[in-house]
Amino acid sequence: MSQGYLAIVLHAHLPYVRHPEYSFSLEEKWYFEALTETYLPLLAVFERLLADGIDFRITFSVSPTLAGMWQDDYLRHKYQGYLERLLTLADREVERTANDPVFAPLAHHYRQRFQEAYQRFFVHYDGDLVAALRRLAESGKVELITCAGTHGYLPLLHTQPEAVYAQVTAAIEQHARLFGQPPKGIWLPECAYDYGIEQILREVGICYFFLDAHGIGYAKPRPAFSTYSPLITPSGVAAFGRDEESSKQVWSKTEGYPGDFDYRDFYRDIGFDLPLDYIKPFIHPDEIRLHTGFKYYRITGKSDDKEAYCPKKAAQKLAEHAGNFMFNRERQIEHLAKVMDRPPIVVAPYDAELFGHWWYEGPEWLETLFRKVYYEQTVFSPITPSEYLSLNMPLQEAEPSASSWGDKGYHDVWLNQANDWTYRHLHMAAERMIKAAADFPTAGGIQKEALNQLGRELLLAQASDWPFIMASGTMVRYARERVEDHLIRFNRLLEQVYNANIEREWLEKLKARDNLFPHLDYRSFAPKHTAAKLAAWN
Amino acid sequence: MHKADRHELNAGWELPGAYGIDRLVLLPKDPHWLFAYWEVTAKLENRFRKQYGADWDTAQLILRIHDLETGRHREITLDGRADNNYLQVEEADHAYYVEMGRILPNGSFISMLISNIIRTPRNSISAVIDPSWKMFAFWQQQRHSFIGGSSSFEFQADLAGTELLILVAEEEK
Repeated sequence: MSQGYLAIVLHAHLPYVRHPEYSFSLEEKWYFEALTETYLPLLAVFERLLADGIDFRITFSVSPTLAGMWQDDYLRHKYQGYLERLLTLADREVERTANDPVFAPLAHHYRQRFQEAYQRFFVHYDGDLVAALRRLAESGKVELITCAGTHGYLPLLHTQPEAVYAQVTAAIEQHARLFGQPPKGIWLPECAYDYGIEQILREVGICYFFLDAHGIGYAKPRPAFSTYSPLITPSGVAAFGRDEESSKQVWSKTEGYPGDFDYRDFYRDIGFDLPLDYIKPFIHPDEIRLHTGFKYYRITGKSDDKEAYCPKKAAQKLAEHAGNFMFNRERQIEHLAKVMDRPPIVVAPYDAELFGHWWYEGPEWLETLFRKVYYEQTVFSPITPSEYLSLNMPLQEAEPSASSWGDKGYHDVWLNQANDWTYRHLHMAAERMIKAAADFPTAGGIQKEALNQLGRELLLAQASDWPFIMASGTMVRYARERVEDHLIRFNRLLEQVYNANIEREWLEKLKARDNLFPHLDYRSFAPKHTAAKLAAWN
Repeated sequence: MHKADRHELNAGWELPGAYGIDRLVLLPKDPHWLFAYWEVTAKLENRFRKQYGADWDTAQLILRIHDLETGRHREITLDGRADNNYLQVEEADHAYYVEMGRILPNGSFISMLISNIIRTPRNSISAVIDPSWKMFAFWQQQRHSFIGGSSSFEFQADLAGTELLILVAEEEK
């Protein structure tokens, strides 16, 4: 009998970066890299564990923007071109390094990886990752949960509760349609919570969500079991808290596993290292050097002097690290079980893209961890939040603290001088959308199509990624234009709706371009919480 | 190519500088900082101008920060040209709203706009104990604060850093 439980949660998200208007887009490249390096390797891990009868559990949050890109034919097609180019480079690398005893095996290693990605995506899955995940979910080992529609930063959209409601509704509708049933849980974008959001989650049928450690730790009244048991919020939705200890072991740049000197170095890449003439066809068409994915060095140390990557040594290290993580959880859970009246749950959430993209060995670490947990110890079992809730232990009622898992723990990253200008526009658009939903309660034909498209443009403008990118100081122009473009389209289309002069051709172009949430219903923005609304609009 | 495409879909439109709607909106930033933005239309100003005459335009524009828990308020003066401000507040877990107005030469405060109410996030463990729940030993043994807020940010910032030069180059094109 287990003394407690470990819930590993992976949050997979990228903003909607589909750009048919460019032959090359750096933003689409993020997505293709994440497919090759993170999503496909993770699915392979889950399938191998399942095939080998390992009793593992993963809670996997798929953001609706990511699921939308998975479903998109244009991106599928473009990914094929991307991988074919990568495989061409792989052949050239094998040839180039043929006489080099150190780098030749690495060139082969990458060629094999990229061939596997191609095979897996286009043959094994027939381009359909949604179906692949649905099959995994049917095994009961993988619990799929959702996120807000376009990853909107909910606490800063919350001045209009309808905007939060519409974000969540779009997500749940898409999740149910793609994965066959509505999600029980939600990963709040950036783990960001504001008082009252749980009431909206309750309304849309969500059973649980997650908070950073301080969101639970600073709950009122004080939580008897800190983050080691979920709380029940006043609305009846359960809130799980992130465990600081297990987070730090993976996340921390200084103490975390991913920084180990034997692991592959992310920064050194032949895209920067090799002569331009050679690498030109595989980087930015304007000859701007970019990451290619061929990275031949290990982290080695703090200096720029890097040594060749050795996959065998890295494999030994990741096994060690998996053992260490398991050992620490065993001791932690043994201790907690003694001082609690119930089996503790340790919740360890991570960005999925950490695994594989940044931490190259991450997916394999996860696989090794689950194998070890299954074969080598009996102190704890992997679990999903739903399973933990179905143990039916009475939960303490408390109100969590507003919080996020961003830098400094609150809303700073998404609300500062780099991005605060966006909110006056976003809130006004939301206010107008709510009003339009009330003014046209039974729209049909082109009017309805336009109203639905208004909802899409608003949701796309609300993504938390844009203010995040603005705050990070790079690619600011892209983020600014994304917010502006969607809001400008929104404003112009709204005017056409009210003037009853909708331009059919232009609307069709918008629908084709900003095509996330094909089933969106503009009425999800209808005024719902007028009583709770405290804003005084003069 | 990019510009032409944006132009095609957006037809040279820009985001408006103002919406012609009077509003004062308050957002929480962290336990001790709020952010307020506002729009005051000429129409609203004129209404007050009519009522208070020449005094109106020389009256100091201020923002009152109301703490709903204590019933107290604090005032800060505003630059008439500003349309937003970051506001420091004393208390975590208190409900606040702000009120914009002017102080007439005779000292009376004339309210122009009132914001929504927000509650600041907490930054310490609660003193409120539910008697039906026995606090487990954790609270005696360990520090009483949480670090929180260590996520992908540092990694993403790092990743972004590597592509910085590239993108600066791209933006300059």
